[in-house]
Amino acid sequence: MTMSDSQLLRVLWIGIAVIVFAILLVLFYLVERKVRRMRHRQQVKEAVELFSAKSSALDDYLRSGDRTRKLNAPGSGEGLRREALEEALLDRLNVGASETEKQRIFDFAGSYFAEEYKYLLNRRRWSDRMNVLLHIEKFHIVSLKDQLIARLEKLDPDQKNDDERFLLIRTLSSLQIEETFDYLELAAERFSELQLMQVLRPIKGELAQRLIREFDQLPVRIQRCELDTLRLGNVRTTEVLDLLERCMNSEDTETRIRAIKALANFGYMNEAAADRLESRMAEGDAVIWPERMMYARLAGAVREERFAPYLEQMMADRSYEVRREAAASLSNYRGGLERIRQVAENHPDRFAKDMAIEILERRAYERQVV
Amino acid sequence: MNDKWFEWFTLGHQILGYTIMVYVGLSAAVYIFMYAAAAKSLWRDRDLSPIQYSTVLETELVPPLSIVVPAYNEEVNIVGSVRSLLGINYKQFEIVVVNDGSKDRTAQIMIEEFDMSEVKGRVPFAGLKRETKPIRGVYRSLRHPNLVLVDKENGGKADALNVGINVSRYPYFVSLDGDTVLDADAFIKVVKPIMDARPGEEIIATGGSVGIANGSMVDSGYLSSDNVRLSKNPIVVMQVIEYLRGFLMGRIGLSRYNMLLLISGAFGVFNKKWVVDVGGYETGTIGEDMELTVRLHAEMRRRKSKARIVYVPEPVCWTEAPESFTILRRQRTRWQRGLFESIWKHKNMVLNPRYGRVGMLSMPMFLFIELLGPLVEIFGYITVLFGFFLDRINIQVSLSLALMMLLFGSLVSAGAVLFEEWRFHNYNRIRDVMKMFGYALSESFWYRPVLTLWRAHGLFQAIRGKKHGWGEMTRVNVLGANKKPGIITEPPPAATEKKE
Repeated sequence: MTMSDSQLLRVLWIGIAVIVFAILLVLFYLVERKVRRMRHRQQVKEAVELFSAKSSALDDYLRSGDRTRKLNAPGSGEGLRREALEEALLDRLNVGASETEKQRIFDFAGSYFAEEYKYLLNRRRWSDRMNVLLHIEKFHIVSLKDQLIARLEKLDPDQKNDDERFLLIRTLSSLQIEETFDYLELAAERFSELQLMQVLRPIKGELAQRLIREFDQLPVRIQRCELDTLRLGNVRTTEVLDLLERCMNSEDTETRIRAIKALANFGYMNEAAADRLESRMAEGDAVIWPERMMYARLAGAVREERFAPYLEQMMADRSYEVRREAAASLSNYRGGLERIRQVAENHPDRFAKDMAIEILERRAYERQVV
Repeated sequence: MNDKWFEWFTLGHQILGYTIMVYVGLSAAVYIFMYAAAAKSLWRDRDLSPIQYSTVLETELVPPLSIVVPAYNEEVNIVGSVRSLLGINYKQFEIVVVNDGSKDRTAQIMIEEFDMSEVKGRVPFAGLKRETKPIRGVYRSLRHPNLVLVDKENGGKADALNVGINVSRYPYFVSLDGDTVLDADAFIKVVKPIMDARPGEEIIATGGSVGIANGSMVDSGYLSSDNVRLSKNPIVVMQVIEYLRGFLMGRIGLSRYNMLLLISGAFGVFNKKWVVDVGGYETGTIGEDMELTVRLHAEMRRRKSKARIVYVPEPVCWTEAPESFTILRRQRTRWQRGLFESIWKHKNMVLNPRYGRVGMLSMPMFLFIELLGPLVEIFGYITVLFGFFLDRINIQVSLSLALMMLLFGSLVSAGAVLFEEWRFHNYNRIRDVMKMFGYALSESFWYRPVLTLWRAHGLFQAIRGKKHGWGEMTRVNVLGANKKPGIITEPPPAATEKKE
């Protein structure tokens, strides 16, 4: 050790000075940031209140579509004004604006924010870009389509974090932009199923029809999610019914299960599909249990007498979920409850009996409540 | 002869001193690294708009969750807790309340209040291999079909969770402490990494930050960020800072490199299949949450899986912190014992390259910094004392070094307060912030030494094999004692040697 005490001491004191300086810096920055943000929030809040007040210029416009009065907000700065307007409009959307009101909000936002959003989309700060995407989506600013696509093309394909990519594609689909289709392949490779469904769910109208028309060309993960999406969206057209009946015979188990689930939700199918259902139900344990459960559900939705014996059989299934589904389905049949009562009394299988008792109790309770 | 002895002693003292210096240097480096990782991530996400959640929340596109709530002698709270859970901001879930052989009317109250009727065929399906205490009955609410009660014989929290896992339906389950206050959007926040997992990438578990509820206004079982207030009690304020530091700084860094060793028992989401595969919760330990997480890591390495355990920085739940030294002490010695158990049980993982980063980095970190840290710190103090005694220490130098280390600790804490402001800004009154900052600076001078003593004490208890206090498992949750704020504490102040 060559350092003398006094040298060491000097080093230590420099260290201490650096740390104290850093602490002061943190403190100063912290307080400054806090004060600035809170003042800003306060101003935004006041402005939002002004905007959303009855008979304010914004309120006027949203009611009448008449944009003659000037929108004035206290305080200065475009940023603040934009934030306040954004919040006022979002509040309005959230409390359930009517369709015309929504359209007015979108028009207004489109003309008011587009320029600034265009700039924000390419900001270096990640959270700025994410926030602006969320707002573009909420306000349906279709005019930014080219910027969105350009941004999407610019993303580094090797990037590990897909948050921005996902949000961009979801925004494209919510805005009903045709180019969404160009990115489905990429989406299928990189996104989770729940993300894919978030992309597919908002698609409406012509684009939705195209999804069904081109179903067979879609990547298999997109296909599966599309089936779920159709179910959740309660889409009831003959094209969809055709598709579901076709997918019921799919080679892919997942696709099959989801198609059946969607069919059960649809509540109808043609004769050929019903035959198919019957033959599958007859296979019993050869089919995996989630599929069996869906068959039970579908049989309960279409209520054809020929399925009833199978449902009764399924009440003794190995899986609790299947038993429960079968019992619930059977109870929807004409004379179903009577049948279940029979099971409760006479069935040789203890599990089937227990299930029958459970469902009878539940139905009795429901009657009593309703 | 006497001289010889003295020489040996001084040599020993010198070696000890150097060892401690190296230790301090290394742990400071670890802190700086974690600090940087956390800062990078939080800086990126700062001021992100909360509407990111609202868009998803409106849809049913969320993974269904089984919420497992172990309850022991909770007749007073259980109905309220379940009510608030039933009203959560989430589309698909079931609630499985597991009555762990309560001696009061927990089960009866549930059955009466929610019109529950017995379900016979619902045999355990998850296929958990571990033996559990016998189930007396399974009930389902007629009014809320997604509410299930399992009545079982007493077996402790871990056993209750295992039973809950067995009875649950969905692929992901949530473990929850009875007294946890949830953030209104807690579920969507922790589930987001699962929703966003890439194809082929499995998320085994996620957890979020735990905050301190004392002083805040809890509204029908929930606490939203508008209602967060800072407590007036100095001990609580210190814990607020400690939690911020532990969660925001420690876990972000660990999670980024998939080395997270602890998903808090207060609130965590787990992949049921994985948990079942590793055999569920270990009964009869204090830190069953950490023990499970470590076991999941071991399994991941064994399978060479790409699965991940993820931490979400967002505050997802709030817990009541001890307000007196007596209870805080009990909690901390308990945590230290739990930590010892978890590491001791998996000691083969420590510094074992077979376990990758977890074995080479996070396990040693927990062992050397978290578990043995207090001991080293006390040794440090002793070394300094002996130094004075042996007249080998330059008072000025050692005091300066000690001051530097203390200030460094304060800087770390102050940084945690800053991180909170970047990402969440839950504490909005300048007064609160100044108070937190002030306490953060003072920490090294009173709170930390006291904690060091307790933790050392807890370690001794663990080594001596103090069994009582966790053998009986009567209370499922002793004053929030199952929530650990994370692994980061400050580096100990150092002793120094006189340089010649």
